[in-house]
Amino acid sequence: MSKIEFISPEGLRVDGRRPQEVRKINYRLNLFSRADGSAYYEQGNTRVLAAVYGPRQVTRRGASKHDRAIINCEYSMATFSTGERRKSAKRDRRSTEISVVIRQTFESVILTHLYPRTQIDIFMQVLQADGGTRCACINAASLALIDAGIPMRDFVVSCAAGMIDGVALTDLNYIEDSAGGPDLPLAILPKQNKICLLQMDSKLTIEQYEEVMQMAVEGCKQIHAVLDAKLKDVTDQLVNKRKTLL
Amino acid sequence: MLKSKTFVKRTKKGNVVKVVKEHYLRDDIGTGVGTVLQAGAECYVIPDTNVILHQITVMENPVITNVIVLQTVLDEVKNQNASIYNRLRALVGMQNKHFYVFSNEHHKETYVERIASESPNDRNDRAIRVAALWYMRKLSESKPVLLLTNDRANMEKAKFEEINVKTIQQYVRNDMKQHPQLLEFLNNSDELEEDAEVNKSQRKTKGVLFQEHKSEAEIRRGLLSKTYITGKLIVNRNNINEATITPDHGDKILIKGFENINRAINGDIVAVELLPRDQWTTPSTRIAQEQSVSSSSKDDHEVGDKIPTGRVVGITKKNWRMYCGSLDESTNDPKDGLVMRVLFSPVDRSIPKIRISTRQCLSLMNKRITVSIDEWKSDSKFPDGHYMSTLGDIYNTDVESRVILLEHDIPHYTFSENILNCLPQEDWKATVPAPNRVDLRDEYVMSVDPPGCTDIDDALHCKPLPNGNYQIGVHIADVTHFVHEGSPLDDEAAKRGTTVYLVDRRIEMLPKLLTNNLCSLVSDVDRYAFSVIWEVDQDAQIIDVRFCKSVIRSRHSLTYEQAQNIIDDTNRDDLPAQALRNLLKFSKLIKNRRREAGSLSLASPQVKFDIDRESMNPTDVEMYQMRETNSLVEEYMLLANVSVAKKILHEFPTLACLRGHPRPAPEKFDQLLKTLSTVDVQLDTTSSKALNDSLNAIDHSADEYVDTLVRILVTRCMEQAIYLVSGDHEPDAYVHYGLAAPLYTHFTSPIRRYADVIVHRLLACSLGLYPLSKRLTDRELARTIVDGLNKRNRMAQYSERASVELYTNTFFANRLVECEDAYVVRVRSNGLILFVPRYGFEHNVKILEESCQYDDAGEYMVLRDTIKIKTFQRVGVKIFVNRGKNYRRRLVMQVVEPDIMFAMDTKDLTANMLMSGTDDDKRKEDVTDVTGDVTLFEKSSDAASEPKNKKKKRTK
Repeated sequence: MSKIEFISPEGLRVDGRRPQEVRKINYRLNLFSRADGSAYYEQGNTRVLAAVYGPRQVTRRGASKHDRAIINCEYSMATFSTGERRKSAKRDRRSTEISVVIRQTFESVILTHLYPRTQIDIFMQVLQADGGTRCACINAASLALIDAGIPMRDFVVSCAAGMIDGVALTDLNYIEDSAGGPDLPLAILPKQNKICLLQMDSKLTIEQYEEVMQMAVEGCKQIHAVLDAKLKDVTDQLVNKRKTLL
Repeated sequence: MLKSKTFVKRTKKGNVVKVVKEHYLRDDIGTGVGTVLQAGAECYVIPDTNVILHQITVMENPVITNVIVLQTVLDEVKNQNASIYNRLRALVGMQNKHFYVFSNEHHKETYVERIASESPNDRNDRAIRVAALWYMRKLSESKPVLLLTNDRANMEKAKFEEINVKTIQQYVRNDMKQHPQLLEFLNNSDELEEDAEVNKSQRKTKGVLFQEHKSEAEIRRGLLSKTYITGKLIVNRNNINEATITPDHGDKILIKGFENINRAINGDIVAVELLPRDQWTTPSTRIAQEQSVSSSSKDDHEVGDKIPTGRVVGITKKNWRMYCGSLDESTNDPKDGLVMRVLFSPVDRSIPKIRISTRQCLSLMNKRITVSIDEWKSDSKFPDGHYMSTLGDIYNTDVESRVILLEHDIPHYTFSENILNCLPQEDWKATVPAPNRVDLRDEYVMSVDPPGCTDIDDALHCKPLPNGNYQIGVHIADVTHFVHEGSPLDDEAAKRGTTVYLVDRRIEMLPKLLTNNLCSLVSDVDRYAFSVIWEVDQDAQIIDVRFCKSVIRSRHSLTYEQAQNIIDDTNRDDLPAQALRNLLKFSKLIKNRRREAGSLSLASPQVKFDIDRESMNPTDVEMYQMRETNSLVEEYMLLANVSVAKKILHEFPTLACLRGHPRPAPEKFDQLLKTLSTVDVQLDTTSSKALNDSLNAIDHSADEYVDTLVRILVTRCMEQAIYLVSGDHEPDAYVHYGLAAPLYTHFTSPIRRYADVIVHRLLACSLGLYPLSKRLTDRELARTIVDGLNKRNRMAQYSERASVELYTNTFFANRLVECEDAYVVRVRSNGLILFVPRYGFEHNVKILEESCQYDDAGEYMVLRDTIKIKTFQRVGVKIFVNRGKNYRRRLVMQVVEPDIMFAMDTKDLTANMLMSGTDDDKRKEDVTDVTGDVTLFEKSSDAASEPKNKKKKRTK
């Protein structure tokens, strides 16, 4: 009954993508010199920055763990990131929730036992929001961690999928996100084929769930292919630089 | 796959926000040739937006195929006219039309960006041209591409770019010469000047009749500053020169006079400017018989309070649809083969006459045809339209029935292929045991229905339990087992909403295979059912109730008469006889309890036509006969509905689909009470119980029929029962006034009502047999569905009534009834309202005021100083049909006993009847249309499930 035609009978979405296509992805690594690792990540009009500090000394001594590193995550949205300028959006419920979710994701992936009594900080800021910010942040953080050289079990890639008017769509943008359909953010370890994050706030029937889940997995794999290819390029360049130095 | 982006600025409501959207351009969109478009087509046509908007009927013609619909065009059409958009989408969906949607806006090579100096319209025109050029390049070797536009500038630019371009008129006249019938459908209003100079010059000579409509921006500004008021225009059916709007806030506004209505048509959303206070007037009591360009001032003798009066300054949303009617009867010298401009007069009296051009004038005379409006120029007295289709001969009952269906917007086409694909195999058999189904095949289940009934949706069983109590089961056809949520079949059923019963036909909600076969609980076959099973004690008090999906095997399909005979047959004491007697005993107890709670028992004039099978003409009319067994079945249906309503409301407090019947506003009774007080009948309308008691206390020793008559009149004061979603209303609104039930819903007829289908699903959810799906929990969706159902129900009632009226007229057209009993329902200053029990209709008899004295307080009149006529008096009437203007048949009644001389002779009768129609029809609108004879069954406690039975019988 919705007024906007989110997917035309010709099979195109509002922005011209087909249901299984993710948006255009671009990223850069090593932006900041003070951070140990950093990444700027674009997925369509969603743009985020991630910076990784550590492993470093634990700031609150009491929180230190003797057998592993602790991970700190902070997600925030820039006041100018949305259409209407927000007042300070720091530390609201939503960003706290997302911070926790991302922390949990990475706690299971980073080989924290290698760095006992340290802490790793991951800061993520959304510069421009157009749907799928938490997935974009996970991807950016993943890249920043790689940039920082922190050992992980696998790449972490994340992508959301949803369902509008009975059609499963991957990587929803803001308009599609606000259609009110179910939204299912997923993060996987692509090489190991394991799921490390799955959120679902709305109800879906089992059949629909399977379909949306499949869509999200496909989206993750597409994103992984793009990230991996470019990362290999970047690494090659780094190696080449090294060679000239030697 | 290339992806690129553009930035679009957009303002939202109130504040201006910059919205940045991505726009991906693709290279994988094909031309569609060979897939959707036929490879062997002579030429591919690309229409522009205005061609689609103005010529959709031409496009719908089967000879127009291989059309490329550009996305630009599609979007523009969508923004401008939703109904044409839907028609265009339907065309795209048709396989044999070969309409292809080319997503040019997302194609790398056809996307154009707006240039700074360019208006959005120009940009879109350019996008269309670019797409046309792209097609020409792609298809250069094979087939020509033809751009259709009626825009001069666009055409010149296209010619400059060497695109094949034509106006739609040129295309139809030259390229489609072999299909001259297309000319009929052509809308010539936007013809380019060089083609239509003659027309133009003719127009120039005429003066401007109407003020120009204000622009959209001006209207918006006016509405914001409250100088204009907006609302839906309702034209008085008896006087086309008078209309009203009822704004969301504030009082009704009267719009009087042809030029003040300013070309708005019934149902349009209009902007109205109030006239200065000294020009305010009252609604007229007289009636304009013909459409005339008369000013509002001349026909007024003003009585009563003046109400705000205004004039239309603009139309914000047009409600133009297809109209049924006939060519004006007085058309001079109709000829075929020559294009003639003739007037079309619609069946619906609130629609003005429409001027159409046709080449088959003669063959269209005496035919019912459909016409649509193209435009209404400010210098034209009538709107211009074009012919769409011929339905058939006037007065042919089949054709007139189709007119009724079309006018009430009732979907009556045959079910489409993809809907029929949802059906199970014809030889489907119930599998037993089935998961989650209780096997009730051992119970002695019987169904009781009217004779010849094929869609049996309910069956009953009753047996004594070892503990002295009784078990009573109601088994309802399990329609949702076949109609899956969200399937095309389900969507279609939701759209149809209800089965519509006309006198001569039944327009079914579901395909025949389900209604007459797989869902129908016929005897000696295993069928799936949804059962409600009660345990009741000797006093019919409910001890326990449970619900389950079940498999049943009905033992007997009885008619009401057979069931009655079994009960009455004292020699029989077998299983069915015992069960039926027990059922009857309990039903009476339950009925009495309901009566005590205040359930109304009303009456309505219901007639049944005996129809001649060959000519389809009615041969006799009779009242419908009720038996004890009718009310037996009803009682259990009511009980089942109430039990289910309680259950679903308890489980889903916000989602339950209920049937509410608001208590009538006290002022609705005022007129009736006043009339009744003149014949010493007192009614207590404070509550339904008090009303029922006072109805029962009426002394009808003098004339038996008075009792029924009063009940009929009370029925008309009732509100309409409606479906509602429980979450949207206060619990007070759930009440069913007529049944005196705090909760009520529809559960027992899923074969013919969609509301029951929803309720079945909800009940299944509450039992854990069905997932609580997205569609069920979506309240927004539920609300739209329920609103749709209410509208469909209302339309179904109107059409049923129109159908009865049609058959009544046909019946009397062939005979003259010399003397028939009638009762005076009301006495007015200038006439009598009479009710004829035998035929179950009411009519108006006009008596000129000079010949009688009318006593206002006592509501009686004295004719020629000797004959006194008062309310509820029995008179003898002569009934016949007179033909009115433009094929409107009217029933005419004359009082012959006592022999009162009429102040008019029969020659004038038609005209006079037209005049007296004011009161008659107004009453119908004011009272009947709101409450309605048919709805009565909803309200009348006796009869919630009864109308179906009755109608089924009728249609046989």
